[in-house]
Amino acid sequence: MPLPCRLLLLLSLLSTAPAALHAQKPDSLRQLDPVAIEAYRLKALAAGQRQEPLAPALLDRFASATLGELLAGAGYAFVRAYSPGGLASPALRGSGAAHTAVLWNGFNLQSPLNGQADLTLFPVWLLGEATLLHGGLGAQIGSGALGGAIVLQTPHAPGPGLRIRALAGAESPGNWQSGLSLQLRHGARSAHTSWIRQQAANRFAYEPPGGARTRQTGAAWQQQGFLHSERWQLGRRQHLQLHLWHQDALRQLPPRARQTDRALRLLAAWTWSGTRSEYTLRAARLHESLRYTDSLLALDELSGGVSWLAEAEALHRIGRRHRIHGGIQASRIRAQADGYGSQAFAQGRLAAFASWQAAWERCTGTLSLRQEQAGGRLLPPMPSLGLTAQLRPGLALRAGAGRMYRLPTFNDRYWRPGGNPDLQSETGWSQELGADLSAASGRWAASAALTAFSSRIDRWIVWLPGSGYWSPANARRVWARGIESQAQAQMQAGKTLLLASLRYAFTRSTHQLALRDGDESLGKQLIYTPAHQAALSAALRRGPWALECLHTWTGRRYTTTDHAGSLPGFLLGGAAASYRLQAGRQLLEIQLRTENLWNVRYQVVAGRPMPLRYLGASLRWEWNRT
Amino acid sequence: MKPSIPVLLGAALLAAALSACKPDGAEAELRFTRGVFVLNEGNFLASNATLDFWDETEDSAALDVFERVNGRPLGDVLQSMTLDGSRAYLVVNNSGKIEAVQTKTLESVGTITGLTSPRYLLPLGNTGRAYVSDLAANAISIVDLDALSVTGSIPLPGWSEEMIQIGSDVFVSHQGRPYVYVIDTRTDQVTDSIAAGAGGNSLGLDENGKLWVLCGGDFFTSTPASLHRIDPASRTAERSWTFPAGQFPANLRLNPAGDTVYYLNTDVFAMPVGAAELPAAAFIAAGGASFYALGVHPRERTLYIADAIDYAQRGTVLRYSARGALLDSFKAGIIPGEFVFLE
Repeated sequence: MPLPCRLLLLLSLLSTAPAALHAQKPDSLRQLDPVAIEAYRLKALAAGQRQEPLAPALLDRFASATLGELLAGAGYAFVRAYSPGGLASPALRGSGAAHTAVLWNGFNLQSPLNGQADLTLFPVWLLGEATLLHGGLGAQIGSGALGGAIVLQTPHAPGPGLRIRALAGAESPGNWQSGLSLQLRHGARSAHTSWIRQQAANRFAYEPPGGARTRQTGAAWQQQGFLHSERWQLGRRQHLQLHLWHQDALRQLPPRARQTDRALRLLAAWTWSGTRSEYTLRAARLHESLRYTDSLLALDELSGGVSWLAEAEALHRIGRRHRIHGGIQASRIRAQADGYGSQAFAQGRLAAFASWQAAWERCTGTLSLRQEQAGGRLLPPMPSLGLTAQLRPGLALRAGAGRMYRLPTFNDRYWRPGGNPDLQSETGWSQELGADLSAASGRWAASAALTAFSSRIDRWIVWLPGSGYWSPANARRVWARGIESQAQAQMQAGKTLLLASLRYAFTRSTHQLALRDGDESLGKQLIYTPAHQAALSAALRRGPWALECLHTWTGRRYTTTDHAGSLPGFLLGGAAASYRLQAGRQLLEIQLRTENLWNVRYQVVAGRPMPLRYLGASLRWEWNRT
Repeated sequence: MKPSIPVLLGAALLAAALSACKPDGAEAELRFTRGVFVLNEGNFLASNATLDFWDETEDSAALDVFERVNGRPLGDVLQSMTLDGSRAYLVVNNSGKIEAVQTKTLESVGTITGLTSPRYLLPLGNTGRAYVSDLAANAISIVDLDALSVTGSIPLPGWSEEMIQIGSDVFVSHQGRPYVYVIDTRTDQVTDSIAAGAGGNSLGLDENGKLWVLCGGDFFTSTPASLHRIDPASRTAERSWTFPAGQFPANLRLNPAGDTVYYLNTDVFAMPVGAAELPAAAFIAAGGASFYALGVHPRERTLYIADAIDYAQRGTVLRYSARGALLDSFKAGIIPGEFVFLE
């Protein structure tokens, strides 16, 4: 067999598995971690719920991509992606576009105007550490986390030294990416700076339904992001953190619209750490603006908002087994949009939260409660309970239940015409039960996780036609339930490492309330919510070489609430080969890959074509001095 | 006798040639003689507009007939349809095009492209020309119906909407300005503007030859909706009625006799053309339904009402007698937005 054929065969059979493999370690920890609010908020508060850290190798594999492309490409979540570079909103556990919170160093970045976090505007290169939390997190996070949350933490250099990273990427539809990152730790100071630029001509080939192959036009986009973090250790017990994130994106939206998004986020945190206690004061200013123009319709709509947030939090350990945690958060949001008229609107929010965690020999229990007041209205209390139990080595069970909510957005309340200031918050309950298994022996290791969940959301806000214009109402009730499973294995044979992983999720998310007689959505799956999703990956690493292959299957998505219209399921394949050269302090990695390997014609959202097969290449360079 | 290879090859080639005449996925044998076309807008930017047909000779509905005949979807937002003898024109608004088809078969004759955001097409008698109103072109386009091409334009700033020809003049309702504009078809010039209300959305002619224009008002300037009866000869509004604030009526239609005006204002209202006041009570109450389109059968005088439900599922067409009694209903496509009656 000629070499290219063998290589192709290998590419189709093997690959670098999404690095979840590296992240999964048998959980034998049954005593409490050191007192640390950051870690506590991330892990302990959501105890009992499914948590998936996005492993560094996965972040490297998608270093030039956006968070939306990563989650969809690696099969971690269904992402409603309008087009490459277009709006990409996550749909965790059958939830809506505004139901996944994105937390950045503890603060929620969902837009107060429309409730969404567009995952295209989160370049992977800037993310640092990322963890996917599944399920409702009303008590732990607050408003907007009904399907789950994506938690982003800016890491700090683990040891003294300097680390420089650079990235250059290109894709055949005319897309380019470049990035630079510096991480420094010197004495009491550590700093992290990252910059990324992504630009895409997006002149990819596609086949419209009933039409001949053509090339996409009017879909170019570009964005730049800059992130800088500082951390100063002030003596033995205190440290101060400052973070700045600036991001701007300019996107053409086919056929003729343009959208400019800008964000400036500033965050400061002071922490005092003792042996039994930790206290944190944090403040943030989050600014976002959006400009949408449509030359044909002579539209030029500007909107934006500023959020001021302040938070005080304490964590205290009582004995060896108990921890209590509590705090308050105050925020003020001011938003203005052409769609609101010339008026700006503001809302003050005040929340108190507390939790208690107890750990016994083999199990841990966490009880949390959050009480929020928004715009002078007191919301119902949001409790949650999480339990984990290590039945035996390699087998752990977890269970979680909690209440969750989402405040109406500014658009919901103030858009003219239609805005409804009398809207109530969406509220609901979620429950889940899961098991984690792991085993290792000599040269191989394997792990698996199985989770069943149920989540009910009442008073789901939906815009409905009224007398002359559309208006939002608390009109829907949705029940999402399903099963999520994943398994991964790795085997070392000499210099060769073989990895494989499989994921499958079944999600049934249905309307439980008819709007009225004649509404045929009752009992039917939500639109753009696939019932079946699967991902299969395989990887082979030998010395400096790595071959990987990743396939995702996304099931049928209905495009109308009565299921009269739907988009067929699609299988996407990708393959990559990389070579890593280590020389002294330097590391150079060259990667070649092909996306949509089987040249599948598909659309995630109706009328929005996605690219046929295309090629990509990237170069990653690292320099370390310790 | 066994067929020879050349004969087989010839037969195969002939079969291939014949099958090539029909686009892939197209369905033959659909005929449209008497019934009602239901125009389903589809969702904006989703390119899921469809055309349905209620066949009165069979008492049955045929769905998505354009794609079934032509083997390709219609496009994005089907706005209107004009019958013109053996031809019909489908105005696909957000695709910026007009599909020309054979009325009896719906087989495509061609496509008029180069339009901006077309709304309605009005053929100008037997001249082979037509005017096309537009949401964003700031002009009425002039098209050649034989060549299926745009041949010119008449500047008219803003969103021009429905049109009616009376003699050599075309009267144009306007969504952006509080006037009904008059175009002289002999010169293709705007010759006059008649003061009406803001948001002119629909037009009709009554038994006395009077022109009715329904204006939906302007939410942003708090201009109320209004109804006007215009004398085309003197080009003045003889009579005007103002709706209470917060109402946004649309879809003015007249019955075949031209003695009753119907319109949608959440419910369906009926008003004799000689009435002094706007009707206080609904003729047909929506009862929570999302009434979105209204049509009056030109022969049977029955009312066709589209219920778009949540605008994200197939709508329902409800048929009422001329007295307002519900007769029956059938399912249509996404957002049924207009009815066109084929006699």
